[in-house]
Amino acid sequence: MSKLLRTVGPVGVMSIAALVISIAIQPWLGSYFHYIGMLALINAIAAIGLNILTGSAGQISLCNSSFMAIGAYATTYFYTQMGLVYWLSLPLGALIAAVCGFLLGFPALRLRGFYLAVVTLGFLELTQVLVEQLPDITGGVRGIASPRPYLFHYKLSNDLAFYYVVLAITLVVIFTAVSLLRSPTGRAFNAIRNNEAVAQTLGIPVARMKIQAFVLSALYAGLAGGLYSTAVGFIDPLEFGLGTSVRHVIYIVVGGVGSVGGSVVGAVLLTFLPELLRSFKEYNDFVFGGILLVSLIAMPRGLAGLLPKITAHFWSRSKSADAAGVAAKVVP
Amino acid sequence: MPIGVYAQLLAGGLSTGSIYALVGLGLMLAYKGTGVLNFAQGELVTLGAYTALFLSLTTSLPYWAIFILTVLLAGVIGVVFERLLVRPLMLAPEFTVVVATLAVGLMIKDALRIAWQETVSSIPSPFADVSVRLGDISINAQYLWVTFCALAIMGILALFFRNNLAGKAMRAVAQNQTAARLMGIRVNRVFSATFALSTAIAALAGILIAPIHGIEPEMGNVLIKGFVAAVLGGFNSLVGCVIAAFMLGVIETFGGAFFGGLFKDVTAFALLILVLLVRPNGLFGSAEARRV
Repeated sequence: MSKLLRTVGPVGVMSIAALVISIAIQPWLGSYFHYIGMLALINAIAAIGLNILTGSAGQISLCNSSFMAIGAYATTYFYTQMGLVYWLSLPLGALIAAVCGFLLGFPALRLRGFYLAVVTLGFLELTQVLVEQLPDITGGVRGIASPRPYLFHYKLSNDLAFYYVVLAITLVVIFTAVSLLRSPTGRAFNAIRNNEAVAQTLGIPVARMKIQAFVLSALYAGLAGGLYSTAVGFIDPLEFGLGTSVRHVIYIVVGGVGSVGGSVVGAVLLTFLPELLRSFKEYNDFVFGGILLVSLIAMPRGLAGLLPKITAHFWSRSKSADAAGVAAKVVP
Repeated sequence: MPIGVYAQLLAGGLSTGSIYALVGLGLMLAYKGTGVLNFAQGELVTLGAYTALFLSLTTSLPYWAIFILTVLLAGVIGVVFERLLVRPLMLAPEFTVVVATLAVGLMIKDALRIAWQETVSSIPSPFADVSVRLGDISINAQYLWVTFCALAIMGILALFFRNNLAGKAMRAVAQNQTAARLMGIRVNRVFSATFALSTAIAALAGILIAPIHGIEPEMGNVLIKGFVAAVLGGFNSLVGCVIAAFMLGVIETFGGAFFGGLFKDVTAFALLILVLLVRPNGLFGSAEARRV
């Protein structure tokens, strides 16, 4: 057993524990927890998307919630108004979001830092306006209903059933994102974040990689949006405002910028936290802003950056040094 | 359409543009001086408006006294803002700056929302119910007052930076902090003064816009328009920023009147993208070398 622990490492053990908990414990909890669990996983997918663009490729984005909105409205449109099968509408919705990410990528190519933040903020406002002004497709400010789909003639109206669907998709997303960031593409993203000029001289096609980061990030966010619309059953433009984008940023900052696991942990923790603090519901943005500021100051590398330090205390000495070293390299 | 309608649209557009100009000027000043682009500038506008509202509800001071008091208070808020938030951020990466200022903006917005709920309030202005008549054309005096204020601020700032010693010190710090320090300029004081000025201008925008659009927690959304004005103006020149803001305001107002609300809301973003693609240094800016 201890040998197994050693080979898997602390991160592996925690991931397996988290997976077991997320599969096994849910049926014993109330439907309220199924619902919040769904939202937590959906937020995790959106945070992973933002993390690819901001954490890995180093491009500031304040419009993650817009890609989520595009995915949500496109999925709902394909499913309810064009009568497509849900399992086709969902990827199509994500694809539409990815196309929008591609389009935004072009103007964003020439920009960096503050200018990029401003343009993505502008894109967010634009999406909000378009959603409000095109009520035929989006239901306008009044919103639009998005019913639960069928899986082999079985309607997934039960929150627990849909939770497992979301969980399965989340696992696929985590796996693809981790593989992606370990692939040459992910390394190219890291190089661009660290130093664009050097990346260019190393023969990395900076422009193409940046657009690729935009597309991938929008794809994940769009997928999260599609799932969100179905999970909640109703969407309106307020759900996808600047506050939501900033919340995604908070997830990755708290979890650890650049780390997929960190994004998941940040999203899940910070989705459950406000539910625990229900009496402070009014102060939500205030609390989140405070959490963000504190974690920017106290742990610039997020929870993922703290992990090696914590495990070093509990893991056997020789292994801990290795684990810390590896984790520090993997988590940029 | 009768000429009077055009005149009113023009006045409305210029006054809207004036607000954009004030927001843009505040952003530009702070960025030039400290290298921090303040994403909470919109909320500083809101905060200024609510300060004025608070003063007008709790005291029986006349408009002018509230006006001056609010601007002074905003200056103090600006100094505090600079000390607590901006100075620790000055050497941080851009991502941290963006995220931290956004977070503070959200916190200000949320605090105001909790304190005042979602109600739309306003402060009385001596200009709000007066209209200026020029022959057949009648224009609300508040529009003219707003436009006048924006132009006046631009003029005062231009003179201040050209002739005043403190203004010159600010320009020196913006160019090169180390060199400025070696010349005996107290750089930290200049930072405080810059933010006092920037916040005061934001509060001024808040007071001016209140009688036209009302005071509500979402006022800060004007931020993006201020950005667009500053970027169109090249992020470098006071006059460029104001002209760009006027253009944006007028185009939006006329576009909204002739082509509907969608056009009005899309204009700013379309202009932003277009200018950044075609002329990245703005309509009036000059190219700048970037150190790699």
